[in-house]
This record gives sequence, structure tokens and C-alpha cells, in this order.
Amino acid sequence: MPQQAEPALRAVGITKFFPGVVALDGVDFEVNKGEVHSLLGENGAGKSTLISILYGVYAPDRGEIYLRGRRTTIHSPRHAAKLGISLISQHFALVDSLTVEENLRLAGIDVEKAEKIAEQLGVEIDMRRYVAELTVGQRQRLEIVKSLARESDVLLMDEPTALLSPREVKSLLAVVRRLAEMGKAVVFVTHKIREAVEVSDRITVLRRGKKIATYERPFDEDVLLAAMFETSVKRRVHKAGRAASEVIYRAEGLRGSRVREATIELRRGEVAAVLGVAGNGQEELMELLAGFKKPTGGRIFLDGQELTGRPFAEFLKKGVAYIPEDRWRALAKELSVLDNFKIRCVKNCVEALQEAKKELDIDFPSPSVRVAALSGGNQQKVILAREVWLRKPYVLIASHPTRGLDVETSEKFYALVRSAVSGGAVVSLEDVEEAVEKADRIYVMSRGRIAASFEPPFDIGEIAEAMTQ
Amino acid sequence: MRLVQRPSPSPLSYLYAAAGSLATSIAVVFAFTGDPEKSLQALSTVDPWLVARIFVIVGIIAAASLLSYRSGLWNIGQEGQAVVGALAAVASQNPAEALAAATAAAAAWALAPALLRAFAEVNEAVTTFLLSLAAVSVARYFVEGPLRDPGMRGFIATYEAPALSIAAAAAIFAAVLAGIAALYRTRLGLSLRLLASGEEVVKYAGRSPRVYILLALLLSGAVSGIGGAVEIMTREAGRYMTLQQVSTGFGLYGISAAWLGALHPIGSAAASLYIAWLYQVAINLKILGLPAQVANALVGTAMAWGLAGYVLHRYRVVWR
Amino acid sequence: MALEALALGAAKGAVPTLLATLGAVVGQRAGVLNLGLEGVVYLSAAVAAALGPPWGYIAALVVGTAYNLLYYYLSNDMALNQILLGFAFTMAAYGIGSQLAQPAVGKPFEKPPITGLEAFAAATALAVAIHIMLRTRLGLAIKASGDDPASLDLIGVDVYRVRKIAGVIEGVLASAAGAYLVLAYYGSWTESLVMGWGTLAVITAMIALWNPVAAIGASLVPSIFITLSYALQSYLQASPHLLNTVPYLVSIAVLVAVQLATRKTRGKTPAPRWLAKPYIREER
Repeated sequence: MPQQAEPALRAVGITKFFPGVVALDGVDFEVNKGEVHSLLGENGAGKSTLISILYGVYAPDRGEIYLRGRRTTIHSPRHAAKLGISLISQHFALVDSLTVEENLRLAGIDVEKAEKIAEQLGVEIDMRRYVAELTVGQRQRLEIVKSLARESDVLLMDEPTALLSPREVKSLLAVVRRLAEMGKAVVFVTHKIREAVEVSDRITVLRRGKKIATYERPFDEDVLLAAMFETSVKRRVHKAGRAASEVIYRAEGLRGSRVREATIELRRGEVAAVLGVAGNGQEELMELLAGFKKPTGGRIFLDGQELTGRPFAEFLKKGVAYIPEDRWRALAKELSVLDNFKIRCVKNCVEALQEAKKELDIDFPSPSVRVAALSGGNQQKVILAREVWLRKPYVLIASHPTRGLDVETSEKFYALVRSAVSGGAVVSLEDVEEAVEKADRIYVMSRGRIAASFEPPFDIGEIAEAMTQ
Repeated sequence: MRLVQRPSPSPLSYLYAAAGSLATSIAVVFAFTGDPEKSLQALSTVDPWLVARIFVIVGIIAAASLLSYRSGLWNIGQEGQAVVGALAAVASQNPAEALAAATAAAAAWALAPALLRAFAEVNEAVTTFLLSLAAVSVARYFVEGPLRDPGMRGFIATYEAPALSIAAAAAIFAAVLAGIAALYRTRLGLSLRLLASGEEVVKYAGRSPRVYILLALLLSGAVSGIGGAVEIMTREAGRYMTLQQVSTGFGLYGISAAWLGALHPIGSAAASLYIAWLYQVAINLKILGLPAQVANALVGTAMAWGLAGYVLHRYRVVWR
Repeated sequence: MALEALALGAAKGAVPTLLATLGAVVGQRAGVLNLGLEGVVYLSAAVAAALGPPWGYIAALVVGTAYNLLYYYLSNDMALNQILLGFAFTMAAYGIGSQLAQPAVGKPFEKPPITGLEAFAAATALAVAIHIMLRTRLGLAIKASGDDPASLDLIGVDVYRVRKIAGVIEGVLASAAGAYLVLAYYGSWTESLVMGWGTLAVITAMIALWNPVAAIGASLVPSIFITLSYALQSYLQASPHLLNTVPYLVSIAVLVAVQLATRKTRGKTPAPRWLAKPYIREER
């Protein structure tokens, strides 16, 4: 790639503070026309924050941004869009309650032009459907069409593969390469080394808000790995293979609004994983399993005793713990860390909290600080400390418990589950590899049903195939 | 312009808010009097007994307000609940009975909005406010009808409420504050405070959100009723209600004090003293022959400053 | 004959409610639960009363709209609690308004020669116009601002600006309601005459499920009962004070009925999802 005189977008010394954390610490970054430049880092490294600053969502506390060589202050997303920058984030810039056509009009895009571009890209778009009815992949393709119709020349893509099926990921990466060939400057954010290597011309690695280095082709995966993780944390593979024990928890033919039919068994000492492409009913399944929501059909047994339709309080009493996907269901935003801890803690709570802080390495200045002021990872740790470490539940139902955690902490989480949960755990995950490494049994969910279940030895290909059925 | 989160909350924000309100009030007074000497007179003349009495009334209603807001519920019908409390006091024979009746009657008045909020998800701010307007009409009906004192001859007014000394009122106020502080340390109080972060969190804690919605709104209504009863019972003279004199405006005063006081029992008590002083300023203006209605506007802006303090506690304003 | 008079009265009384309701529909669609609407109606009515026709109309619109815009600035750009700020604005308006209009107490105005039906027809046309406006790009932005302001912001539309535009529309409509109340409906001013109308509009907007065309019907609810309670006063021995509370209680009852009825179609309810929640861009 020939070096050009001026990068399409250049950020110098970007610093951003959030309550309790330095999210970015003097980061430099640039992207040229016609290249894909990846931002690689694990959760909490500051990738999304940097992208949000480049799109005017956050104002940086320090640092400068140059657009085509000219110093620019990006006031707002509206301003960024005017400057020719587009963002395709996990939070789609689409309004659910409007149709596709209305969304295009709202964004000030000529509908016919969008249709033409969609045709060129080979993407089908139904103009009259409500966005709420589209799959994640369809929304993402609509977003790409939007940014092309806007003739943006800088495209920011924040973890675009996170919610896609393996097949959709492949076609997305091809589209991204094509965008670069069309002369767009593409910033591609990911935490997956393999994707970055496959799609990028350059890769910048971030770690804990700091830039480690920028690498050029050809990439060395080991070097990238070392750059991403300070101390090279090895992901431990759980060796399954204990003798089959008795079933302690059984859900039969569960139904809800998005779950159409799910039967799940949990044996003593087992960790069962539920996998699926986002939006296939996993989140609701976990709500039903934990008793947080009442099923419209089916039955739930714990140690042979039927619990179907009982209030959540009774599930709690029987030793069920639930970690929801939405953190703000488990934490009271307005209250302090200590008060949040007291939701489950009855006595000696200050001491217990201090111990948990040490045990799980939770970072907060004092127990009386508002929980909303902690970083996302620390909030998740507070939940884990309270629901698993403190409660020592009999059965744990957890939705994406490791999302937002760095590798070291998620290792700690699994160790904690093995030691503190006396019965077993059902964990819903988005990463196939994580499931294969940690689980004793894997259920795959597709369109509201348990499409398949697997026992070790696991075959990743087979599981991925089942997810896209 | 945008709001940026502070690295850590700024407790100074409420001081700024109070200072902002004070500056606004002084400016308004100056604008109305048009001369420094008169302004100084309006700002510095203080009747300690009056201020003490208003302080206690506003403080009790501020306590009622924070009972609702700390649970994320927007009761703005304190005025109506206080009127109902005052009516109950008028109908009673002795102070103890009056306070008990006021508590019960005002809680009952708050029951409908509470039930509607808990079981039909009807916005409680709208219903409590409308019931406040309705309370005035209902009170007038009582003034003309069931509670009219025939001994007053041609003058249409209710019976007299039993008298209560300011010292006793202050003791009640202190008890209310201590009660709230103690309540919020219990598990029950924790569940009430959880409600401010959403009903789902309460459910997650294994409790019924509906129970706590009812409880918070009823408590808020009941304490407002005590405020209304204390108001009418501590008057030096004329402890009755007439057709023209039904509502007293202390609902607004109490709500303002709650916000200026950071929704904290001690803070709102301190803010109540400031609000009581504003009341005195409005009276001074009236004596000078200037519009006393300005009081509402002054207290309204004080409340806006309090709301701003709440935002600036967590955010700073960046102009760019 | 009596029924006809009742209908005419109800139509005439429904005009201010409909105007203010349309304002509330636009504002609430944009995600703002403005209880200061009561204050805007009151203040503009007071200004209209203080100046009298014809300047009263214009001054009412200007002052009322400016007051509403100030509310929108503070409650959105500055993220002050919408509900409580609205309450403060209402209370401040009661204070300022009653002071301003003091000289007008007891002085009747000459009412314009329009019948209730004519006025109601004009307001109905306005409702249709608002309905069409909600289908334009601005209307889509207003809807999006109430349903999902974060996405709207990412799309590149300034949420705060959209809300302020909604605030101006709401302010003009509510001020028109205030001016109409004093100059065309009552033809006189007393301190408590126009209290409650703005708050009723906040409720009727909810009864109308935030639909301008449905607002035409919803605005008749309190109006019918206001007219009815006046008419019944001469027949019944009931206290006029108690009859005064009837429109409030009926409106709340109808709101509850509508809310319970739409509950079954949960998920499809048109309630703005961000109603009364502040949108702060940097909130995590």
C-alpha cells in the first residue's frame, strides 16, 4: 500500500476519562483512503470509546483530530455524518418503530439511490418492513447501504461480527474488503485476532486504554496475541469426562414469546452452555429457566420438585441464581456498591464486600461510591461476587456472564463457578470457542428451539453448522 | 453544548445551585423594588417565629416529597394531600386525633394514584396533580357543607382545628426526619430505594414492585397530610378554612426544598430553612406594596436550581 | 333543544382542549412529558387577558411559546427532570400570570363572533394538518426522538434540536388554547378560571394514544363533562364544588380504561418508549 500524503482520518493523543477509569490514555490512530485499519484489543481496551469519539458521540478530554489533514472538532454524530464519517456500531442507527423506508428518509437518504446501491452490493432490502422485524444481519447490511448512499469516505465499524453467524461473518469480511477497494477508509474494530488478520492492511493493538503498537502485513498472530494481553493469560480448557451424575434440574418443553420449545437438563457438577446467533431466543430462555419470567407452557423441575410458575422469590429460596444479560436488571443504578451488595447480603456486608473486592480484584474507591460510576467490567464483577461468590448458589443461570470481561477475569469466573456452585450452571454464550473450552454439554438454539445438543468431544464445525440451521 | 460525566460526583453542585437561587432571588427583589435600600429591607427583615413555623411546615412536606422521589415516583400532589390533611385536622377534637386523622386521610387521598400506578401503569405525576386541583374543590364543599361552623354566622368557614405549639410541631418534624433516616437503613428501606432504579431491580431482588410503589406513595401522601395538619394547627389565629383560603402553596415549597436539599433528609431540612426565608421575603415585599405572587416564581426558580444541582452532581457542562 | 345547546357548548369547550392536546401529542411523541403545559396555557391566557383583543392574541402566542421553549431547553439540553421542572414552570406561571392579569379581573371582553362548531371545525382541520406533519421527515424525527433518541442521534439528526422544534409547535398550540380560553370561550378572566386545562390536555393526549386524529375525540371527553356539569347544576342539588371535580375524575377514569384496554396488545402500544426520560449523549 503506497503511503499517501495525508491520512483520511488521524487522531493524536486522544484521552478520555469516565467515572472511575481512564478509558483512553493519549492514543494515536490514523486510517488512509482505500485501507482497512483494524483496532484490536480485548474487552475494556478502549476500542469502542475511540470509535465513539471519532463519531462525535463522546467529546475527548484531550487530543486532536485531523480530517484529510485539517484539524477538526467533531461536535456531534450529526456533525460527523456531515463530514463524511459513518458509524456502523453494535447499536444500530436504526429506529425499530419505523419502516426501512422511513428510516432512510429520516437519515436524509434518497430511497431510490439506496435501492440501486443495495442491488449493486447484491443485498435484498424490503422497504416496507419495520426494522424491528429485521434480523441482525439484515440491519447491518442496511447500515452499510446507508453509509454508501451517503457517500461517506470514512467508515467506522464497531465489532460488526459480534452478533453474526459464522456464515454471515464470512460474507461481511468480503464486503469490508470490497469497501476498501472502492476507496473508502475503513476502521474495523474487533477482539478476534483471526478476523483482524484476514481483513486488515494494518492493525493497531489497544490495551487498557493505551496504544501498544501498529503492525503491518504480514502479521504474526503470536505477536498480536502478546500485544493484546499483558501477562499472557492462557485460556484453560476444562477437561470434561466425569462419570455421568444425576439430573438435578430439568426444563421440559418451555415456551414463551420468543422461545418456542426448549428442553434442557442439568446434571450435578455440570456446566451447560447455550449457544446461538443473537436474537434466537436465548435471552428469554434464560429468564424462563431462572424463573424470572413465567413460561406460557412447559414445566420446570428442581431436584424432582416442580417449580413451574412459582414466583422468582421461590426460585431464589431454592438456591437458583440468575445473571441477566442486561446489567441494570441486577444492579440498582442509583445506589452505592454496598447497597447493591446488600440486595443479597444480610449480615457483615461491609466485611464481605471488602473480601470480595480482594478475591475478585474489583476496583472501586469506597463501598459508598455509586455503582454506575464503575467501569462495565467492574460492574459485572460486583454481580458475579454477589450472585456466585457470596450466595454460593445451587443452580446458576447466567446470560453472557463473561461479556465485557477481560480474559483473566473470565477465567476467574469459570474457576469460581466450579468451586462455588454446588449443583450446576447453565450459561448462555456468544463465542463457540469459549463454550467448547468450558462446558460439559452444549445446547444450540435456533429460532426459539433447542436445535441440537452436543457432548464432548465437541466438533466446532458441527456446532457452527447447527447454529445457522 | 453537552453534558459530560464527571470522574467522580461533585457534592459542591448543590452549593452552586443554592448560590444560583440566592443570586436570582436577590436580582428579582432588586428588580421589583428598584432601590437598594428597599431591597435590603425586604431581604433582611425576619420574623423568627414566622420563619420557624414555615420552616417546620416546608420541612415536613419536603420529607414527604423525598419519600416519593427517592423511590423514583413523581408525586406532585403534596398540596392536595396537605389540604386533605388540614381538613381532617379541622374535623378533629384534639391534636393527637388531628394528626392521626390527617395521616390517614391524606394516605387515603394518595391511594387512588398509587393503585393506578401499581396496577394500571397510569402516570402518577398526572393523577396526583389533577387530584390536587380536585382537592381544592372538595375542600370548598366541606367548608360550605359538612364542616361549616354555624357559630360563625354570616362568615363561611369551618370549625377551628385544635392548636399545636411550634415546639411540638418541631418535634414532629424531627421525628419524621429520624423516621426516614432509620427507615432507609432497613431492608424495607433498601427495597424502597431500589425502586428508583426501576421495577425490574426490585423484582430481581425477589420482591414485588407493586407493594413498594404503594408503600412509597402512601407514605409520601401521609406525611404531606401531617404537613397540612401542622400548617393549620400552628396558626396563631384563624385555625379554620374559608372558601378563598384553601390551598396554601406549601406543596411547591416542600418539593423545592427536597430537590435543593439533594433529596437527603438533612439536606432538605437545611433547604427548607432557605425556602422559609424566601417566604419571609415575599411577605416583606407585600408589606412594601409589591406583588407577593412573586413568591411562587422565586420558589419555582429555586426548584429549577435544585434540579440543576442534581444534574451537575454527575455531569459538567462543556461548551463547544 | 337542550341537547343541541349541550353539543354546541361541548364543541366550543373542546376547542382549547383539542389545541392543547395536539400540542401535548407532538411533545410527548418527541419524548417529553411536559407538565409545564398547564403553566403555558395559564400564562398565555393571562397575557391575553392583560392586553385584551386584538394584541392579546399575538402577545399570548409569543410569550407562551417562548416560555415553553425555555422549558424544553432546560429539560432536554440541560436534562433537568421533565416532570418536576414542568411542575415548577406551572407554579411559576400561576404566580406571574395571576399578577399580570390582575387588572383584567371583572372586565368582560367582546367575544369574536364565531360559533362553537366553526371553531371546532377549524381545530379539527389543524388536527389533520398535524397528522400529515407527523408523516414528513420532521414528523419521523419527532417520533424517533420519543422512541429511540440514541439511534436518532447516531443517524445524524440532532435530538435536542428536534425536541426544541416540537417544543415550539407545542408552545404555539398551547398558547393558542390559552388565548382562546380567555378571549373567545369565557370572555373574562378570574384567577382560577383557566386552571387545569393544560393538565387535562396532558391526559387527553395519552387517551388519544398520541394520535392527532384520535385527539379530536379525546378532547371531547372533559369538555362534555364540563358542559354537562354546568347544565346539571340547575337540576341537581349537588354542590357546584363537587361538580367541578367531575371532568378531572372522568378524564382519569377514561385514561385508565384506555390504558387497560391497550394493555392486551402489549408491544404494539404506540406509547413513546422514552417518554419522560432524559436523553444524555454521554450516558453509559
